[in-house]
Amino acid sequence: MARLLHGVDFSRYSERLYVVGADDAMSVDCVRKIEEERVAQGEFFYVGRVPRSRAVGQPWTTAPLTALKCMYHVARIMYVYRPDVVLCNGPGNCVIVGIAAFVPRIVGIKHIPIVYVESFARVHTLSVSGKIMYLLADRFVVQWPYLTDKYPRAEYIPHLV
Amino acid sequence: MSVFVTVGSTGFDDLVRAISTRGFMLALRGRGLLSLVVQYGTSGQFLGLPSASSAELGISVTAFDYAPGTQQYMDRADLVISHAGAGSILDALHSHRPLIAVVNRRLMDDHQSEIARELGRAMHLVVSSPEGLADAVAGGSFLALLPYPHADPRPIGEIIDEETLL
Repeated sequence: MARLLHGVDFSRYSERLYVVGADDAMSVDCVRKIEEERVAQGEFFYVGRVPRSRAVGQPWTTAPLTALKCMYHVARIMYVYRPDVVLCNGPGNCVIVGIAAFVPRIVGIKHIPIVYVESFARVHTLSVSGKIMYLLADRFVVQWPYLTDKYPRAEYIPHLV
Repeated sequence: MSVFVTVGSTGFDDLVRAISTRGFMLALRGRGLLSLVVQYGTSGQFLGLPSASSAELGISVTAFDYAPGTQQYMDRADLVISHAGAGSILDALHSHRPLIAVVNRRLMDDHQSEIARELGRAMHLVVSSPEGLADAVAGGSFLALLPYPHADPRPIGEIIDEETLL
């Protein structure tokens, strides 16, 4: 995500909300580095810590419960900050964020565009998040050309990272 | 000349074992790589260095479990040997250092080897197994490797702009 954000104009998107896993200290550091690197004057960023929708190795049978808990926290944050666009790139929480961003659209409140970028590591197959986000995202970007055969809506863009 | 070995944020026992062999040391010496820097993560107990063979062959060894960033070590190295994680591979490619990406077959989710193989096919790096590492160092045609294009993530910004203008 840090690499992708170098392509985003922070003066245009002057408020940035980062949704990060509650136990993910590394990502918080990453966010800090991203924000420090950019000359941000009078701009704002927030870090929303949410419980993971599913921990690595957690049995899938218990996933619905933890996912719901995560959804509650994500929905609350999204309701408070009301983003104009969502950019996500992969890990489990991203599906929860995607769903939370999609709901206002169904209910007719607000259309929040969702841009999903599949991981550079996915060459021939989509991640689980990717397969779900393919149904939700307005723009679906992949970094290897092989994926566009099976997923015709996917946009292949090389050398993003 | 120096070589930097990195196993990433967890461990890679087989890689650390492989660099502890005499065969690997001889391969290093054969290419004039007399300084070995190793970031071993959780695999420290498999590091058989410094050992008699490294001292005997005149190879200096610096080893540590973690560093705040690997960039400085990559920039200083003449050869980088890395686990096949995407982030590490990209860091090494963007530092424009010859790179051997080592695939860990023990990882359950082996899709990690896909990027290593693709980039190997595209001649941006040399792919190796831990067992084949000494051979990869000794025989790898690093001069034939192609430079990796600069990253340009601006299309993502453009896509977001397009979506918010609609």
